[in-house]
Order: sequence, then structure tokens, then C-alpha cells
Amino acid sequence: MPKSKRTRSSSKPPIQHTALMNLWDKKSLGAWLQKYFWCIVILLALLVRFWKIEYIPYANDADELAYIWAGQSLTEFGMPVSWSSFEHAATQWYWLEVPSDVFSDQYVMRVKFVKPWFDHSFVLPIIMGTWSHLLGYSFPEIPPAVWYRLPFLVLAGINLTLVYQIAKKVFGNLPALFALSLLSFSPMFLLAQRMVVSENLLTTFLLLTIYFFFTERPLWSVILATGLAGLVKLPGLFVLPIITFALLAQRKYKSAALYFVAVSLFVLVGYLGYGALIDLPNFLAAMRDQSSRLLGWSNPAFIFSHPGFHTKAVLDLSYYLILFLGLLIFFVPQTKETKLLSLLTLASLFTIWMTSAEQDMLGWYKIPLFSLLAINSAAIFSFNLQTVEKSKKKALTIPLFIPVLVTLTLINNMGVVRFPESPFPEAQLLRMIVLGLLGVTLLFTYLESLKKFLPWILIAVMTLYAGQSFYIVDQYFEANCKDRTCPTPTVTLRQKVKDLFKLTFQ
Amino acid sequence: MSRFVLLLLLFFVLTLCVGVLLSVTNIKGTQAERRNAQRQKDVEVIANRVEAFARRNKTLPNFSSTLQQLGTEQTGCKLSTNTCDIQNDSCFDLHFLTESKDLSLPSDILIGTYYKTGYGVQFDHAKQHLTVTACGAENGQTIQAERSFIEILQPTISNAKK
Repeated sequence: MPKSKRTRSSSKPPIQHTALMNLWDKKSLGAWLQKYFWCIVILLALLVRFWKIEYIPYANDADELAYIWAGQSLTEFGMPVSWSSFEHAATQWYWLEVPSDVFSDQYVMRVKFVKPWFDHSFVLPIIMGTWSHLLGYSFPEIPPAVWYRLPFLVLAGINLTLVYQIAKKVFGNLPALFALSLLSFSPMFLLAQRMVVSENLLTTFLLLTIYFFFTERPLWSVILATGLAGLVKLPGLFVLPIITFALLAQRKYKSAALYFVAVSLFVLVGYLGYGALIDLPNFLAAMRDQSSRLLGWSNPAFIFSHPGFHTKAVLDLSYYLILFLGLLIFFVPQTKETKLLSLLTLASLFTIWMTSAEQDMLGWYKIPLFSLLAINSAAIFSFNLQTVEKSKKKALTIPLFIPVLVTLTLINNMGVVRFPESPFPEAQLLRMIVLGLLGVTLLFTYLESLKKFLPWILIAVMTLYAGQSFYIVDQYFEANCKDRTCPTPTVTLRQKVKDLFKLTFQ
Repeated sequence: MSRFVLLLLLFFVLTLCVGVLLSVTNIKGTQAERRNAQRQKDVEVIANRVEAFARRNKTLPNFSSTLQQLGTEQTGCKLSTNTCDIQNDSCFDLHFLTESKDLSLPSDILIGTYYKTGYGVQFDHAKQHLTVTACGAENGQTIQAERSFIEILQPTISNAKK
């Protein structure tokens, strides 16, 4: 701290005043923001994920319930029981009536259960079963979505932090902030992060593996993270060959062998041990059945043509923004880290291809891929910085197409929330907006003097992008369900808060 | 990485560990006790369904006087456990009591399926008395639900006058 300031503060005793002054001091504020702005972004991201968390995805989503029921029965009775769409032996059908008093709609009245249920690994069911018991629900009661989705809010926070930390490590702070904001406020991605599906937990361990590897943490931590990714869901093992080859490329032959063998054993023992504890013949039959399920030739085309992370395609352009910017990783100068990220992106895409049916893909399979693509999106700034360094300019410039694409996303995403009584915009208004965007783009392309405003424009459009995600999350259910019946949660956050107020003030 | 995130991760790992302990350990037979509690609920559900059917139709399904397993299978329903010795090879189908082809009566959480539920029924025709037994009961317990149908099937004089 400068001497003069210290003297001045000593003449005015309250220390709080000095701290306040420092906070508002331009330089300190800038430094503080640089250091902690990502925390603000993540807090906002968590807020938007929490807002109406019980409405979208619709409460009691069948795939979420599969994990909850399996977890409840596994932790309660030592036997996983849940619904399934796979073929099963007659000895596994165990049908049951499910109480439906926690939701008003009749979508999940009747469920055919199988036991033992081996459709998915045991890790997420165990977490959800334990959480469900903590909430006071036992098999096959369904906890309200507002409560059962809470652990996934925490996971979303962890995953976004990891995305930022990895991007920062590889590309620097500002590009990482861009990548973080892009993912944090992508409407369909944020809705997907609320869902109780293995892919969200798999992404945590996948990102941890990458983070531990990049920060050169002890090998056991990388092994543990990869092993857990594989235990959460077998496709999580796509990271195994990539890290093994990266270690081999670094001539760490022993580490590579140890990593490969240890992770493989960890996963093998975990799965077989679980199967043996419950019912090994049926477990092996389920593995055989799942490994020979029907797949699709044209999955990559399907992924590119179907935006969204659920079963229904939603025309959210941020999906393509992340996809396009993320794929640019293949065009930036390759370093050790970018090489690994591009290989992981490719392996993740291939894994979805190899594990899902064409035109019948479950959108959440893409969550790990898009988390990686979001990290990659920071590369475009890195590429630009290197170009700038070559041309010996010092200022950080932003490629014009980034604010243009974000603005395009903003305009496009006005269509994500459509009320049946006004599904289309005023034609002249839309034409004016689009032509305006074209005009501004032309001006910025040819008038060099305007380019210094690009960072501010990017900040402005990113702020609007974040604001729009709040609007979409707030209105999505109402807009979609105005002319049809949707599964409506009866236990809502608003109602709980009202109850709490009544209880407190009566 | 911030310590806060590490703490959150720790929360997940701890939840997982607690869950694993709950799932794979059987401290003092807790899981067996929970399964038995579920069986007790199940036999009550079955007996209640039969009672509701009898009240509605003033008749009973054609129960056997010897213990017979509930289910849809026609063969292979013999069952010998600590609490049951079922010699009848065919199962007795009571799923129609749910009045919906999509639903079923409960099955035993360990040994039962839709086709062979692991629950048995026995009807004493003289006393008009139904006993539903959980054949998979553990820890040496006997889990049963009993119902008498004398009043339901033979209306009292006062009821008849009405």
C-alpha cells in the first residue's frame, strides 16, 4: 500500500473506511475482479440453475426416477429395483404400483419394475438412494423434484469451476472467463445440468482427471478420478487411452503402464464386485445385452443436427456456438494441453457414437462432450493472442465474429420461449434487427477505430446472454405448457417459502 | 482449485461412501429387517385387495385349502423355504384384483417376480379364513396377514333386513 495512503488512513482511524476505499480504488477493483469474477459468474450460474429447478426438465423425468428407485431399493433392501426398457429374463420382472401423491399429473402412475436392475452402474443410484433417505423417502416414493435435484446443483457448481480452472490453466484467465460464461448461461445446457443423470457425475470425474493431469498432481489422484469416471458410467473410460498415450508421449512409460492397469483393475473389480454381490449371472447377462444394443451409423450427423440435451431437439443457438467455437481447438497451434483437449473431444464424440442409437439418442449423453467443447472455446482467444504477439501488437483484440455470434444467439434464442398466442416476431422488426446486426458487423469490419470498443461490446452481449438465460428459465415452462398438459410439480420452492413465512409469522 | 470446491467434492464422495456402506453391509441384519418390514406391508396389501374384492362382489376367488404360491405361472411354483412348504406346482393368479392389466400385486423383494411372487395363500373353507404368507421371510420370522370373511360373505340378519 502506498505510504501516503497509510498516513491518510491513520489520520482517519476506522479501518473499514480504508478497506472500502481500497475496494473502490480502480486498480484494486480491477485486480479483485480479475481474481474473483469467476466466482460471481458461478454464483449467478447456480442461481439460474436453481430458479424453477423443479419445473424443467419436467418433474419425475423417467430417467431420473430410474436412478432414484434403484438407489432407494439398493440402499434399503440391498437389491436394485427400477424400471427398464431392456430385455429381461422372466425371473427379473417385478411389477409394482407407484404412489403418485407427490405430483399432480398422472404421467408416472404405473411402472413395471425389474430386479435386479443393472441398466446403469451403482454409483449414482447409491448417491441418490442415500439422499432420498436423508429427505425421508423410501422405495418407491418419489421425493419432490425441488429436493431430489439439489445434489446436481452442487455438481453443476463443481463442474463449472473445473471448466474454468482447466481453461484458465491452458488459455489464461480472460479466455477462461468467456468459456465459463458461455457454458454457464447456455439455456439448454443449464437445464441439462439440473438433471439426475450419470453424465453429470461422469463429467465431474472426467474434468477432475484432466485438471489433475494438467496440474501434475500425484498419479494416484489421476488414477482415482479416471477410475471413478469409469465406475459412474463405462463410457467415462474414453479418457483412459488418451491419458495413457499422453504419458507415453512424455516418455513416462512406467506411469503409463501403472495408470492403465490400475484404472482397468479399479473399474473391473468395482463392477464385478457389485455384480457378484447382487446376482452375477443376471449382471453378466445385462452387460452382454447392453454391449450388443442397436447403434447408429450416422450419430455424428445426428448430434450436429439435434440441438439440446434431452430427447427433444430445442433450437437453442448457444448449442451450436459452443460446438463451433469448441471445434476450433483443432485449428489452433497445438501444445501439449491443446493436443490432449482435442483428442479428448474427439474421443468423447466417438464414445457417444459407439454407445447410442441413431435418431433415438438421449441428449444428456452429450454433456461431457459439451463441457470439453466449452473449455476448448477459450482457445480462440489464445489463438488470437498468439497472432497478436507475432504481429508485435500488445493490445488484446477480440475476433469480431465472437460478439457477432453471441448477438446472433441472443436474437435466435428469443424463439426458445414461444407463447402459443404469439409464436412469431413482427416481420419488419426482425428484418430490422437482422439488418442492423449486419450493418454493425460491416462497420466494425472496415472501421479500424471502432475495434477498440470490441471488448466492451463483448462484455455487453455476454451480460445480455446471461440475462436472457434467466428469462428463458423463468418463462420456458409457462410458454411450453400453456396449450398442453405438462407434469406439474405440486411441491415447489415458492410454496415452501410461503409455508415457511406462514409458520414464522403466525 | 478453491477449497470450497474440494469440500463439495468431499460431500459427494462421503455420500457415496455412506451409500456403499448402507448397500453392501448388513449391520445387525438391518437390510433383512427392512425387507421383512416390506414383506409385512406386501402381505397386508394382498389381504386388503382380497377383502375389497369380497366386499364388492360378495364372493371370493377360488382359493385352495393348501398353501399355494401367488403368480401367473402354471408350472414350477413349488417352493420350499424356512416358512413355506408349497407342494402345488401351479401358481394362483390374483393379479386381476388390481383391476388393471398394467399393475400387479407385490412380489417378494428377494425371491419374488411377477410370475412367481414368493407369497402364498391358504384358505380355510370351514372358517372362511384367509392367510397370506411371505415365503421369503428372513431371520426366522413368520410374516402373515389374516382375514376372516364370515361377516362379509354371510350378511347379518340386520343387514339382510335392510
